[in-house]
Amino acid sequence: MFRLAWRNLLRTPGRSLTTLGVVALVVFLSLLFLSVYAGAFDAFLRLILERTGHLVVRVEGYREKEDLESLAFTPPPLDLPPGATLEGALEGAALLIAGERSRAVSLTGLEPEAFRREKRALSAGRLPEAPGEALLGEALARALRVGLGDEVVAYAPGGLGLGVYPFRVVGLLDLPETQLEARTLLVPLEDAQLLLAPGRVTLLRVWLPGVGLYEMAPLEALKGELSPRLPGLSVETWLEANPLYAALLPLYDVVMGVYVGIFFALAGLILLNALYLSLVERIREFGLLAALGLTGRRVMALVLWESLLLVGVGAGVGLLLGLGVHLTLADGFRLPLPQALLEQYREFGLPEVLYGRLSPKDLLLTLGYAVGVAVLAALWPAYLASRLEPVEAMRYVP
Amino acid sequence: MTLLRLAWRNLLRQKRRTGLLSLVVIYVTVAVLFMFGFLDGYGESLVEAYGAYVEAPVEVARRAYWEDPDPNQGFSALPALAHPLVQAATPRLAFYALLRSPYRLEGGVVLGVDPEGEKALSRVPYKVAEGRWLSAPGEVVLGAKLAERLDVRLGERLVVEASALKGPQALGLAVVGILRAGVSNVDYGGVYVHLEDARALTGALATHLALKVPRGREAQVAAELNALLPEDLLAKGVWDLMGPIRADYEGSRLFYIPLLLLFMLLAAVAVVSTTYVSVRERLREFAVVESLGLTPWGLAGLVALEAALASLVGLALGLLLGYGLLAYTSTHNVFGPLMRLSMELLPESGLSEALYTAVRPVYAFYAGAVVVFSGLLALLFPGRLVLGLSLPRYLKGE
Repeated sequence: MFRLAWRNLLRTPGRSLTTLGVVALVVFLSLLFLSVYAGAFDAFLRLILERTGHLVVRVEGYREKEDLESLAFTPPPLDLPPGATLEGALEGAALLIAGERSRAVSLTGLEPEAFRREKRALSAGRLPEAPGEALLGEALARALRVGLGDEVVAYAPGGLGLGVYPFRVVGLLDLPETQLEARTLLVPLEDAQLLLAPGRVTLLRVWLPGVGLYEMAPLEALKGELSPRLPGLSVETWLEANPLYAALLPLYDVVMGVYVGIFFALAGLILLNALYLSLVERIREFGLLAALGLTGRRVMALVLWESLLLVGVGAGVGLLLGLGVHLTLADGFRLPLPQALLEQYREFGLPEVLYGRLSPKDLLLTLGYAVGVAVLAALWPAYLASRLEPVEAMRYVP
Repeated sequence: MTLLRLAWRNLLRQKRRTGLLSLVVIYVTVAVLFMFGFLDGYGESLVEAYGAYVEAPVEVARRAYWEDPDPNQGFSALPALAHPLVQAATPRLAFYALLRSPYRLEGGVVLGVDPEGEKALSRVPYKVAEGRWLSAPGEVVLGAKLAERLDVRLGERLVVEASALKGPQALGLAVVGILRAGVSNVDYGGVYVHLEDARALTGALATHLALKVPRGREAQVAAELNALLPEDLLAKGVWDLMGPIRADYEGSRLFYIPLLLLFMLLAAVAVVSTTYVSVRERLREFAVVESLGLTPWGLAGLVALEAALASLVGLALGLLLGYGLLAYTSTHNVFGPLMRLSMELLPESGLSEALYTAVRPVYAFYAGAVVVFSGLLALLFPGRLVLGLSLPRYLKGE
């Protein structure tokens, strides 16, 4: 049956090649699409992870609490596994004043380790080394018309601290998003505490070495260990701390499934068309086969085999091409869009260089669609072929 | 006319085959219509959000302000504008401030507006969900999500602190209205105060003039104003006032339009594949027609006409279905949940929670490309069969 199906496909090489080409193109485009989108999605999530830390400790019920007094806490000692690092941070809002200009800013007090992580975004100057030194986003510095060595005053009344604190600008940060860059003020943790809440932090970030982007098991394990030892505090994985992104993860899979389905629906319709034409051309032959004793079930199997072979070879070619291109994308690529558009995409945190990703799930999705389409498209022509009356079919004139 | 009737009769001879290939064209037509409707609807939703809520259809400011948006780059005197298409104009004063409620401190951009002037220009005054719009100095209207974050309610006081030309200033304002506009920038960050209060806080007159002009004429009016305005002033249309979200719209068009072209080409391949089989079945018939006087090119034209007609049948049904779908999605906010999620993810994007697809007759013209592709491909492939027809061989029935 398999050989017969193969031979039938070779009898109409033009049509078989066209259909095979369509299937290969659809599989190729699906893999390309999945790889590029996953790369972009990963880039967004990586950015979130870099800002959140693998685990984050905050006051219990922090989402419902509004005032700094309820949100700030004295950092407890934490027993962490070897290699893990802990950073405290104090976040608050302030008005940053320079001469006759001012801007509302997000002020973050950081420990030296966290400052070192910011070093790659440093576009001018150096990291703070002493109290009273600050890093400003480039856009913020431009808006306030200050540069390295200038003094700015952070004004944040109503908290537990001094409410006003002067800083000297020692470094400028080039962040991907201008909106964020225009409101970023990073200062030493001790200074932020003096300004906002002495001795306290609003969050603790835990970093674990060698944990991949989607590796949640080690994070859950450490969270399970830490939570009972931190009464009044909540420990969250980076995804739990960003519930909107957590909600996006399953949604992403559904959306990708629908997108790829749209490609395959077209391929399925074209395949159905090709199989039907092939049936029409061979009605007399099918009649003869039936007259010679081939049962309806075996006729159906023959058509199904033809469909599976056609899709199998097409999907194989598409898979090879898709994986080949994906391997190139996995080393890093830039979206083929005008520079002005790419710069605007950066404003949403999308880096210029993305890294393609294809998971086994993506390959299964593509191949599943291919097999599904092969079977579904063959059902109707196979049914028609199996119901042919031998005598009528052998007399068939188109 | 005879050729057309002949082509039509030929299609009707194989109803099932014609129906099947129409299915491919229907699918592609619906996809084309829906994608164009969606993309244009998305663009219109952005124009609506930025033109009627976040910014204005056209804005005029000093060139220095566009480069460095700070109150001290505002007007020293309001410019006089005379343009027949300007339906309304109102001054605005945007400045950066610290918003302080009894519980929480938050930074943001405050917009000083003339309450009556704003009513003629913006839809924001009509989106007050609780309380009322501004009527006098000493009042503030806030976006609902911002009010939640600040934990302030109607009747409570909010302190707005700024530092600009006038030096550090603060005003205690009564919250008189809470906005629910369904536009991210308004709901998540909108702060509207009386123009007099804004002037008292900053010492500036106004940062820009917002103009109302007829929909679709924004760029034209901005360009015409720029020819009339003094050198140091610059008018911008709504598309130039949009933030980075414009990249998402433009990038989507760049991505989907080639994809839709590919879809149409594949549908044409399916049509031509069927036509090819149909022509091969009828070579003898074609030979008879040729011997009766029709030229080989006339025959090829007949084949192209058959393919185009078959596509036309699918196109007509696809247009019916596609426009039906667009009619529904243009009156029902089916993308609302998706847009609300996007708004939460990108609160500063200017996205609107309402996205209705556009319905334009020109989509039928775009989708019609499948008919042209089918006809041309049919000329190239099955058309070649009839051009190289050997009359004696087929007339003898070999």
